[in-house]
Amino acid sequence: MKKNLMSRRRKGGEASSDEELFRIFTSCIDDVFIMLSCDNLAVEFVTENAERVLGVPVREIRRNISILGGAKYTDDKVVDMGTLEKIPVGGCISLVAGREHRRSKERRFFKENVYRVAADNSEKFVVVFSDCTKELQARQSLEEALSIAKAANKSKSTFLASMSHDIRTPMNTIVGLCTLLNRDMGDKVKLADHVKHIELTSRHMLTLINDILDMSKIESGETTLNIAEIKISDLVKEIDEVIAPQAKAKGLSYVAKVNAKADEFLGDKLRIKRVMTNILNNAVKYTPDGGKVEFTVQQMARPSLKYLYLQFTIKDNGIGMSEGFLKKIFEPFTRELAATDVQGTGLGMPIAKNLVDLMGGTIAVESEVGAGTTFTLTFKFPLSKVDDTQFWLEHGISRVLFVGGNDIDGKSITWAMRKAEVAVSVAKNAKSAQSSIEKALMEGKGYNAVLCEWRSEKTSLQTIKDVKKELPEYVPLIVFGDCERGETQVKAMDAGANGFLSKPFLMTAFKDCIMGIKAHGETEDDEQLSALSGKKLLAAEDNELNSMVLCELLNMVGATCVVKPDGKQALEEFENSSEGEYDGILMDVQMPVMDGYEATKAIRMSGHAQAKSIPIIAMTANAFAEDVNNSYEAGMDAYLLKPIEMAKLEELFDGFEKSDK
Amino acid sequence: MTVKEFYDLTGGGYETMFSKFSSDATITAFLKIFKRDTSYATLCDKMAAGDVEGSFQAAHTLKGVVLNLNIEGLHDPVCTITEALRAKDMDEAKKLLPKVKETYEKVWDALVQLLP
Repeated sequence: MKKNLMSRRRKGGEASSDEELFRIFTSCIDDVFIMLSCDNLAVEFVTENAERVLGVPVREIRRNISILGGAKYTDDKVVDMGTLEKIPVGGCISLVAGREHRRSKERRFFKENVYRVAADNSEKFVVVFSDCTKELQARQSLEEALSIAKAANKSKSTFLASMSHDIRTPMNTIVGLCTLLNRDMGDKVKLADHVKHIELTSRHMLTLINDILDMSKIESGETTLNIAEIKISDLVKEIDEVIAPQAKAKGLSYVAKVNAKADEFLGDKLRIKRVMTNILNNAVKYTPDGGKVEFTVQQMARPSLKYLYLQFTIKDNGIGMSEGFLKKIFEPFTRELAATDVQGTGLGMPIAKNLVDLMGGTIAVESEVGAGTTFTLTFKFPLSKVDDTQFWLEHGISRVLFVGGNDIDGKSITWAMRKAEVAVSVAKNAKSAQSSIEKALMEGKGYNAVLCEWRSEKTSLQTIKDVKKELPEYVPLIVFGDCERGETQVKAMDAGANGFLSKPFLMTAFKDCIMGIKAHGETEDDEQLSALSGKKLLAAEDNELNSMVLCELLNMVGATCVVKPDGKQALEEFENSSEGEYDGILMDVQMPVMDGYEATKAIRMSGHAQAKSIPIIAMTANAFAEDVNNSYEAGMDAYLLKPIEMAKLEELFDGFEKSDK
Repeated sequence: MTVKEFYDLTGGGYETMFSKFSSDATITAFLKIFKRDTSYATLCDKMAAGDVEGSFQAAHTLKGVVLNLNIEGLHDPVCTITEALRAKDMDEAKKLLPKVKETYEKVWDALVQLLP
């Protein structure tokens, strides 16, 4: 091969034909051939594929071989002039080197063979670079896979060893205690003590065996979830019954909080309880006397008709965990070195993690030695039947007008809807309804649905027309009463009715009616609600018209708004609000008493739990850079130009929620 | 007079308003409030008193109102005078005021026809 590699200098067409063939061959392969003089390493020949393979132009290599730069040789070999001089004629050295492709910056590996040959009465080095990057990478992958397989095997062996040890220990204890039982048969006090210990040890062993079986079942995919309706209040209460006594016995303060508007969802209650109690048990175990454990269930702000997004937080101020342990907290049988005096199976966390994964949730843990630990678990649960309050919130209905002379109907509707936190106003006739609609609109509290009592055909049709004229198109008007199907209902719809509801008033029927109207009007998947739907915003706006327009726009997308006429009142309203009452603040900039910038700064510096986190959006008629900068410097999160476009506001809130996630 | 006719008389903007609120009743309710809005009167008073800052605040508020109601005929005159006052150029603002007045009077006349 060495000799075949040599290009023979022949005169005439035969030489150039051979050279041309060689050029074609070498252009197709990834092997680069370079010939150098042994005397001074002057480059005498380079194959043209050098530029493609090594990323260095041929003319540069011809000028000086050192342009190829240093190579990192595997096995840390060093190749210098001395090394080359030692190669005898006819001999060769082989190396594997890593080089950076000069153009693509890609790291590649080459088998580099350096031959010393005699030619044309002198000696030459012929260097052959063969790209072996893929080969090397494949080998590395195989080595990694082997390493992983070995680690997994070792892990299984360690698991079995730990398991055997952990089962044998209590078993030995039980056997020992049985021996003592035999010995102390006549001593009732000692007998009772031995029995008590046998019982405790047996329970521990049973827990361990159950945990092992659970782990095994989950990992083999045999576990299925048992989905049923769950009430958050019941779930928290049942967990409380297990954990509170343990915490109390240890002198710990235990607090369970629920911050959720919805109460029901679909899930596997037993598994959820298992996960929470596993983590809470650890929190209690690893928190010394006088410490605190908090369990919080928080509904996350994600408007949806189908799902409930819940976040569970378990926080303690116990001994905490080291960074090293945190990395393997979910591995079986691992325990923090500092907690060797605490009893446990070492499987609680791995089982919790597996169950969370099975339920499609996420689990995250933060901890600091000496400061405590916080576990955060998030889940997306299907909603069973939608909770009443939640239903009206999601559909953007908080104010209903009943138009009718029947007092009993008016009262029963008002009473039923009040439980779902929907306000009902009553108007006796069309004229009164028109005034009421206008007044509500001008107060920024337009109605979201109207129920029109059906009496006689002629009167009712006129009432529908008169009322519909005053209503925005998106507000449904529902005929309430015995409106005959067929032609009469068609006339009612022509007059402006959107739906029909029979007497007596039933919440479920009203909900169905609203859903039917919405479904008729929607073409998209009903999962896609506005990011503002169900939100409650605080607005600071001194101009009456501007505040009315804002409220109406928000109403249209299912949001509600409380407006204050200056920055000072907005600040006071915010400071007096409960945590989570407002989802955001819309702040006009130019206002009397206290402008938007001052109000924002004051809000950010206030002691309110949401002071730093609540989104504040400037509403301004100016787009100058200075105004934008002033907004951000004051602590605002974004700005919107007037007139406010709901699409832009929705986009902002969508962004806020995503960044919260 | 209809709401559309009001907007046609005052330089346009009805289509945008209707596409936003889909109800003449809603737009009419807004215009009722506009009828008692004092920002234009305040602007005239403050300018007569030579109060640059006060004039700017009033013009700025009026600009917001005009944008929200999308009364296109008033856009340019109100926006221009607002910027002059932002730059504290009272002389320029005084030159622009007659145009604002003229346009506003037209809007007012149409408003009174719509909402007698």
